[in-house]
Formats: sequence, C-alpha cells, structure tokens
Amino acid sequence: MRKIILFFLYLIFGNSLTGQNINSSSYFLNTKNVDFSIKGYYRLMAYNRQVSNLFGDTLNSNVFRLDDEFNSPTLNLEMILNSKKSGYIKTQLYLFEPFTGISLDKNYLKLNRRGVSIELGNKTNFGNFKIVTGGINFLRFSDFTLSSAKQVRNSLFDRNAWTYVWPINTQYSNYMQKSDYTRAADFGKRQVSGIHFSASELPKQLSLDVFYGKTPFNVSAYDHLLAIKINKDYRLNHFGFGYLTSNGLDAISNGNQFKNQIFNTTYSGNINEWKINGEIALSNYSFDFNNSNGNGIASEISIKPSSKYFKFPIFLEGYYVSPDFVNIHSSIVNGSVAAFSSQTSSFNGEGIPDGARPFGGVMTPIHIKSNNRYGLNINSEFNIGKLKVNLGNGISREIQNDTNLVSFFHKVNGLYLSRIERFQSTAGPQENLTTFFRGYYENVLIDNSTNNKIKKSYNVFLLNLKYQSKVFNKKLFVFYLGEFQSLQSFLSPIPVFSQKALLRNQFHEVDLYLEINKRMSIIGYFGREFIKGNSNSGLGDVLDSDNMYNPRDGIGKVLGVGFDYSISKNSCFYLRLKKVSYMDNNFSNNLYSGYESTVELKVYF
Amino acid sequence: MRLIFLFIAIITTFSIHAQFPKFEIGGLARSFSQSSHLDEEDTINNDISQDFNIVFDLAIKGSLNKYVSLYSELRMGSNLEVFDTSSSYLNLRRLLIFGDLNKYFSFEIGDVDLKMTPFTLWNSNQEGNINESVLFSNYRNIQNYENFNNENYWRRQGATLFGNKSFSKKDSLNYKIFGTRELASNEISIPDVFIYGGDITFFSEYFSLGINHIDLFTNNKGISLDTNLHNHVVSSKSAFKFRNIELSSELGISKRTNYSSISDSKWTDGEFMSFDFKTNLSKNILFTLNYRSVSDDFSSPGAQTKRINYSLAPNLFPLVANSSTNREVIASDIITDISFFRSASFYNRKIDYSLDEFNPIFGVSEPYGIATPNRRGITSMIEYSDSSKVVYIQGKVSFLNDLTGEGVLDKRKYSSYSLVSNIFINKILDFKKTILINGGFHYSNAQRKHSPEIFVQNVDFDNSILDLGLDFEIFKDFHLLYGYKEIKSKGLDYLSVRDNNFTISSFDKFETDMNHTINSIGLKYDFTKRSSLLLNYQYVKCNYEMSNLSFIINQFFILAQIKF
Repeated sequence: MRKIILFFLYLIFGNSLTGQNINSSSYFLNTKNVDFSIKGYYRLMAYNRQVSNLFGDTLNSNVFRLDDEFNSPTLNLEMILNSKKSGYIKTQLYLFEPFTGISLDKNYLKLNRRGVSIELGNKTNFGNFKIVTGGINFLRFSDFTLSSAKQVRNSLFDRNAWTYVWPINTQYSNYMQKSDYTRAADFGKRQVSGIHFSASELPKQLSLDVFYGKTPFNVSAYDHLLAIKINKDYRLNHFGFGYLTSNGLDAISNGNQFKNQIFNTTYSGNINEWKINGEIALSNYSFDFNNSNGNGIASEISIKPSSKYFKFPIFLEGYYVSPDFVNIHSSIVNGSVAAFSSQTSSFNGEGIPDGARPFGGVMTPIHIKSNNRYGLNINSEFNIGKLKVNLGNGISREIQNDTNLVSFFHKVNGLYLSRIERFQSTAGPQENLTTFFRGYYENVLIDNSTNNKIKKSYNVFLLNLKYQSKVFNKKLFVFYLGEFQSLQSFLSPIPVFSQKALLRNQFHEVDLYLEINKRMSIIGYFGREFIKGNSNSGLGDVLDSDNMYNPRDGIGKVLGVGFDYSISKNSCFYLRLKKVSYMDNNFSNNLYSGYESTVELKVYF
Repeated sequence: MRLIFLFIAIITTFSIHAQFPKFEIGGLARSFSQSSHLDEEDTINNDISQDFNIVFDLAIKGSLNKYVSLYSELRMGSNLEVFDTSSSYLNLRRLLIFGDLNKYFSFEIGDVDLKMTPFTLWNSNQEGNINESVLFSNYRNIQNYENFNNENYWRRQGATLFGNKSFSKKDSLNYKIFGTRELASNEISIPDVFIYGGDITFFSEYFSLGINHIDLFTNNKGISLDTNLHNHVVSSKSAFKFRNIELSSELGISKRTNYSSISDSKWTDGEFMSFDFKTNLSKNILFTLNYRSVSDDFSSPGAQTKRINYSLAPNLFPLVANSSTNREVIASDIITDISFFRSASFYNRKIDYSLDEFNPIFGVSEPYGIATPNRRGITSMIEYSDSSKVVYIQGKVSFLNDLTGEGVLDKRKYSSYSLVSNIFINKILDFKKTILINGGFHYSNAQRKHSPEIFVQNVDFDNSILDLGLDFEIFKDFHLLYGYKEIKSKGLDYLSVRDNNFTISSFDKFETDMNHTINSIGLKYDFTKRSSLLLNYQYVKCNYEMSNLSFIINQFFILAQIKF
C-alpha cells in the first residue's frame, strides 16, 4: 500500500510542469471566438420630491430616491452574440442600485424586461427569412391591428429612461426641424413577447409577417395572439392584407372561449403626386360565457394633396371607427366595448390593464383615435419668417349615444402625480383619477339626462410654435405647445370655448433652451392646464359665496428650470427642477402642490 | 450576481490579444412554446396549459493560465407569458475549473461528468424509445440537456483526478479517482451524503485489465442520526481482442451496510458477472452476445438509479379524467413535458440508497438496465448496415430469468425482442433531399406459473413499444416530420418492495391493460446547420382499460433553437 501511495505521489509531483493541452472528460457546449459585443447605458437618476399638499393631506414625507419611481435600470447592458453559422442571441441585463444603504439588499442584477431574444436568419434565392423570438420586442403591423399611438408633438423638458443622449442642442435642433422623429424603439409599436417570423423579398414583391405570442393585453391564463400580414408592392404602391386573432379561454378549467378577430387591408401610395394612406378593418368579438358578440368596422384615410393643386401645405385625415370595433392591441382606444375594458368581468376576474386606456367618451389628443367615433383631422406645417408653425385641428363625433362616463388626460401635471400615486385606479378625493406610467386621466360622469339626449362631439386644436434664434451668438430655442379640447353636444369646427361645452381643457407648455457654451445649456419650462366643465358635467361639493355648487374649474401650473451639461458626445448630466400645483376649488380637497427635482447622469456606450 | 458581472468584466477587459487569460464564449438558446388541451371528458381539473419560455445558456471557457482553465454556463431566461421584470431570471447552470497538474494527472473541480461501467456508475437511458422519430428525439435531447444527462454520464458536484501513463506505444495505464457530494447535511438530522470512487485500467494492444471501486456513504458525525450507510461496489473488468473477435467481462460484488453504534452492522452482499462476445461476421454485419448474472441483492446506486423519478407526477395535467389522484409519468411526458426549472422537473438527478421506483408499463425485464438485480440470461444483437448507408437494421433478443424466486420458489422468465431500422428512401430513388423512414419495435414478456395450491395468480406481463418516424425534406432545409409511438402494456406481475437493507419485504400486485399512443406531425426549417424552427402538433391518447381511465391531450409546440 505504501508503495502504491509513493508511486502516486511520484506521478503527481515527480514531474515538472510542462505545457500541454488541458485534458478534460467533461461535456462542454461548443465555445469559440464568436463575435461578442456589449452596448447599453448607465443612468444615475436622483430624485427628490416634496408634496406640500396632496388632496388636503399636508403631512407627506420628503422623498429621496435613486430611481425615477418606475424601476428603470441604473445600468442597462445589451449583450449580442453573433455567429455567421448560427445567428444572433441578444440579451439585456438590468442592474439596479437604488442607494438604499449598504445594509439592505435592494440592489440587484437581473434580466431586464427584454430578457432574452434570439434572431435567426437566412437569405435564399426565394427570399429572406428571419425569426425573432423572445421578449420584449416591439412590433407595428398597422393602426387597426398591432400598434401604439405616435405622439409627435410634446415638450422635451421631462426626460425618459430611454431618452437618448445627444450633444448640446442636437435634440432641440432635431425637434425644430422635424416633429415626428423616432424617439425610441417602441415609437408607434406595440410591446410583444413571442415569436415573429418575417419573409421579405419574396417573388412578385411579396412579403409576409407572422407573429404569435402576447401583448400586455393578453391577460388570462390561456390567452394568445396570432397576427399575419401580407404585403405586396406594385410600383410606388404598397398593399397590405392582415389578420389578427386574439383568443383564449377565461379559465384553465372548463374555461369559456373568447375571441377577437381583425381582418384588415392597407394601402399606401402616390397617385398623381397625392400621397395617400388608408386602412379598412373588420372586427368581431365573442364571449361564450354570456353569448355576447359584436362586429365592427374601422377605416381611415390620410391624404397629402399634391402641391400642384394646393400650395398651402395641408394633411387631411378622416376616420370612422364603429362602436363595436374593438382591438385592445392596436392604437385605437376602446371606449365603447365594455367587455374589453379594465372593469370587465369577461376574463373571469382577470382585469385588462387599462394604463393609458380609459373607457367611455375619451377626450382624445389629436394622435389618438377611439372607437364609436368618426372624425376629421387637419394638420399643417408652415413657416412665418423664423417661426415654424405646426397646427392641427381635430373634430370627431360619437356614432351612437353611449355611456355618460367621459375622461380626459392631465397633460401638464400628469408626470408629477403619477409618481406620487403610482398605478392607482381610484385616486384623488373623488376617486376618479387613474394613474398610469408617466401620466393620469380623470373620469367624469356627465349628467345622465343630458347624455341620453345627445351625441357627444369632440374637438381638439393643437398649436405648436417653434422658434430658433441667437442671443449673444448662442443658440436659443423657444417652443410653444398649446392644446385646446372641448366636448359638447353639437358639431363645431373648432373647440368650444364657452359654457356650451360640457368639458373644455387647455394645455399650454413653453420650453426654452439657451446654449451657454458647447457643453452646457439652460432649460426653462412653463406649463398651465385649465379644466372647465359646465353644470351638466357634474357639480362639486363646495358651496360658493352665493351658496351654489359649481362645476369643474381646475387650474394646474408647472414651472421648471434646469440645465444640460455635456461631458462627452454620449454622456450628459441633466438637472431639472419643477414646481407643480393643481387646484379645483369647487371640489373639496381636489388640489395638490409641491416640487420635484431630478439629477440625471446618463452615459451611452 | 457579482460573479456575472465579473464574467462580463473579464470578457470585455481582457482582450484575446493577451495570451492569458484567454476566453472563448458560446452557448445555445431555445425558445419553446407549448399549448396543451385536455379532452372535454374531464370537467373538474385543469384542462388547459400554456407556457412559453426562452433560455440562453452563455458558455464561457477560459484558459486562466497554461495549466488551469475555467468553464461556466450562465443561464438567462424569460417566461414570455408574463410582461414583467419578474419573468426574467439569471442562474448559474454550471461552474467547473479544470486543468493539468502535470502530464500524468489532470483535475476537475465543480460540476463534473462521471461515468464508470454499467454495473458501477452508469446513467441508463430513459424508457420508451426504440429508434424514435426525429420529432421525439429532438425534445428528448432537450430533456437530457436540461437534466444534465450526457450520454451515460452522471453530472455530479465534486472533484476528480485522472490521467494516463504510457509505457510504450501500445501500452498505457488509465486511472481516475473522484469524490462528490450528493446531499448537504442540515446539521441536525440529515447527514451529508458522499460518493467516492476510482478506476485503474491497463490497456495493451490485445487486452485490457482494470478494477473499479465506488462507495456511496453518509457522514453522521455531529448530527443526531446514529446510523451510517455504506454501499461499496467493486468490479474487475477485462477485455481481449483477437483479429475481429472481442471478448470482455466484468465481475464484481456489492457490499451494503447500515452501521449503527448500538447494533451490529449487517452487510448485505451481492455479486454479478457479465461476459460479452463481439465479432464482425462480415464487413457489414456485427454480432454481439452477452451472458450475465446479477444476484438479487446486488446493490449499485450509481448504476441502478433511474433518470426519471416515477414517484412524482408530471407537470402537464397531473389530474385527468375527473380523478383526484395524480396520474403516472408516461412516454409523452418523458419526451415533451419540459421544465426549464430543475425543481419542477420529474427528472431525477439524485443518487441515493433506495432502489428507485419504475413504471412497469415500459416493461419489467430490465428496469435498471443491465444492472437490474436478480436477472440471469443472455442477450444477443445483430446489426447490418450497407456500405452506402442506405439501410440500417438491428435485431436484438434477450432471454433472462430470475436468479432467485421472489416470494415463491418459481422464477420468472423474461423474453424480449426488438427490431430497429433506418431506410434512406432518397438514396434508393436517387433524390438529393432527405427522405428517411425510421422505426423500431420492441416486445417483452415476463411469465411465472404457480402451482394451484398457493392461490397466487400466475405472472404474465406483456409490453410492446412501437416507434415510427418520417423525415421528408420538401424544399431545401424545409422538412416535414412525422412521429408515431405506441406503448402497450398488459398483464399481471408482483413488484417487489425492498426495505432499508435492500431485502425484499413485500410485493405490490400490479395489473394493467393500457395503451398509449402519440401521433406527431411537424414542419422544421433549418436556418443554418445550428439553428432551426419547428412547428409541431401532437396528439396524445392514453387508455387504461382496467381502471376505465382514458384521456386525450392535443398539443401544439413551437421550438426555435440556436447553437453556437
């Protein structure tokens, strides 16, 4: 035995360490020098908030956070592995460091919402084929099938987690030149999780897209979406045909089937220099549990006339979306099909996350359409000297008399309150505020006897003025964004500014940017919102000096200052200070006020 | 967490220009969607199942210096059913450090793969497969990957030292020792469980000779448990090669004890012998013959542990046909009931003392592979493959019997027959695109007749497995796939129940008449040789005549895979 041990010891230690290929008897996955890259961003977001009054409550803690209340990552790493023989694998790591103290374990590293995404592709003589599977990705098929609304006119003062970093003035110059620049990966697209197959450059100029998976609005345990789009190009014309089905069962045991189908066709093209885009879609839905069903139609057309005939730049958009047309995966707000609203019981207790999707008569901004509505939008953009004018006027009307529930967004004050009352559906003293990601809307019940007699008409007018100049040879940008909305019982070419309107709102936002030097600019912001209702929109609970109850009369005010300091081309430091207030004296405790400040360091790499 | 960040830092900080450390990366990713519907007969239990997962295993292999390397698999996954950061996760799937101490000794520490011989340490394949369709083997490969079943290796956590020394060009000595931890003590009542073992084999041009030893044992020091278990298996193996004839053998014993300070320890001894004869009857025909005898008390946890834990219920529809008791794991579960979370899988990764349960519907003649206790007999196989690889045929017969009567003096007789074949039709028709028909049939029977005086029913148990497959390449890289599987089981047997001393203490009467079929059809597109998309519909039917239990499951799968 001793000799054996000595022999082993001799074998182990009796030989010099000489270089060799390392042996192993274990199984390994194939590894090699694949193309590996990392990109992403670091974002330190320090946030301080003081709420001096929240619906009458003056004891609100001073909030310090090292995030923006929405768990956006401190460090976002996108890793890409690429191999010509295999394909791509993309994954996104999420590192969160909220500075809650070294003794707490609140910092973490995990996969971001995107998680893992695989991309496989092959180019053949027949066509190019690609599969993208994973989550979360973004897809847009068409307005009535798979999409989200595009908001192209907005203030640039508040920054998002995904807002890119530009050198000083670049973002403002871009906005000055063009309103509808692509803001982020999800601009106009729907969040999806699943598998997307695309075939392009097929014979006869055909292409095909198929998606199977989920959007955030597939809620029940067995619920999925299948969308198919076929495109055909003919010269400068593009024709599309699509089908979408979102269906499932409302329970995993003896569930009842529900189904929502969309058949659509799209066209975009150029006829005698007239640019035309259009879409027609048919929808049907059914719920077995109560034998309910409905069919609807939606159509839209947008025309940009030829400059031969119209010297004045104008862009016309008409639409008709019937009351029973519903598709919660599209950019269309569902205001009229209760079974697909957030309060529904159709999905056996699962609630559709309404988010920015109020139900009922929605005073929609100009970039959003609703069902049970037909309307006309006219947009134009022209210059008056150095002043760029971008305006839009929208008129829409209810097709059939519907619920007395109406709602509107608080555009100026929305972000501040949404950070305080996060994702609430019955916030506020009247329990009629719903907060969503970076905003909130208010529900109003208009007088039933009035509502029964009318078809509601909606107006929105949007005025965007952009001005660029120089002060002491430094660039100056001034942007004004005004939005005027009204809801009344009659058609009107422009918003109604009188008591004839059931509800009328005004939002005014002024952004000011002044370059100090190549690295720094100072920012100013001033916003006002005015919410007014007439006596049919519900009276408040506060008696005035005449011993009368009065309708809504809310006034919001936001004053902001800040600066951008560019460290390098892709890294910048941002400071924002905002003083916010809102008050409606006719409703008890319908007020809030306070300030918030954010310090952001963002580095893209 | 920090480990992950460290990996990223390592990869990005140290470029490949430096000699050391030098890193390579790779891995695989899979996206798997399953949607299953139970038939409408069931009105009580869940009848819908839907899941959609994506995983990416990032493999990192690094040469830390000239002698030491590191290998790690980092799992990143998401449940695509949920729109939330909580649906994504990061796990460390594997960590291994390995290297060379010198030119005679290499080492591995961490998650190691270990295998010895079929009687000592051997991970036997799961049941229900007789040359199945590529549709089924595709999923079975994923199951094996997810559960660390690489060929017949066991994935363990421990260390191994191995190497070889050459004495001449034709003579060498191979050796390996290892130690693994099977179970961590709770430091109160559950002891640590370890395995250690080793083998040493001398190879020459015409013969080889070696010994193996493995011991599974507990360490009860410091805890309230009084007993310590040991299960030794020692074997010798030898092989002789002369022209085209190969003779090999393995002979060994097992010693199992339950040592206690207050009572005498009792060793339970078992033994086995196995002899193999292998020859090429012609250029295209291979013939093998095996004789083996395994005693009824031969205990070898490393070789007798099963891949499937049949005491657990499947994840997919465990309750069917309005029943309130869990159904058993069947072939369709073994193939397609894939879980990306180890804790949720009915696949077994634990080697322990007790003889695992098995499901008799897959046959009773060799539930623990060739290390099944209490078997004696012969197995013979003949293989034919033509030189152009158009046709492959394999036939196998086995005649076994109990070495010792179980409960009675009479012994069971086991017979089994199997035939498998692959035929490349396209080669016969001179087509370029693949047209492959493959399949196999396996039949086994166990019989034991009793004298009428003892009032015990005769044992008569039949089992058959039929597999058929079609792979038809319609267009370039675009395949139509079909798979059919049928498992039939009928008859009566008495399944032995063993106590802690490995002694048969009682019997469970098992009687069945069941039929299980799987029809599967799929379309597969190969984007590259290493990446593909599969759309698959599967119809599963299971019928138990005696208990009036039957159910049908309709399934739809989407599988996208990419491997580097």
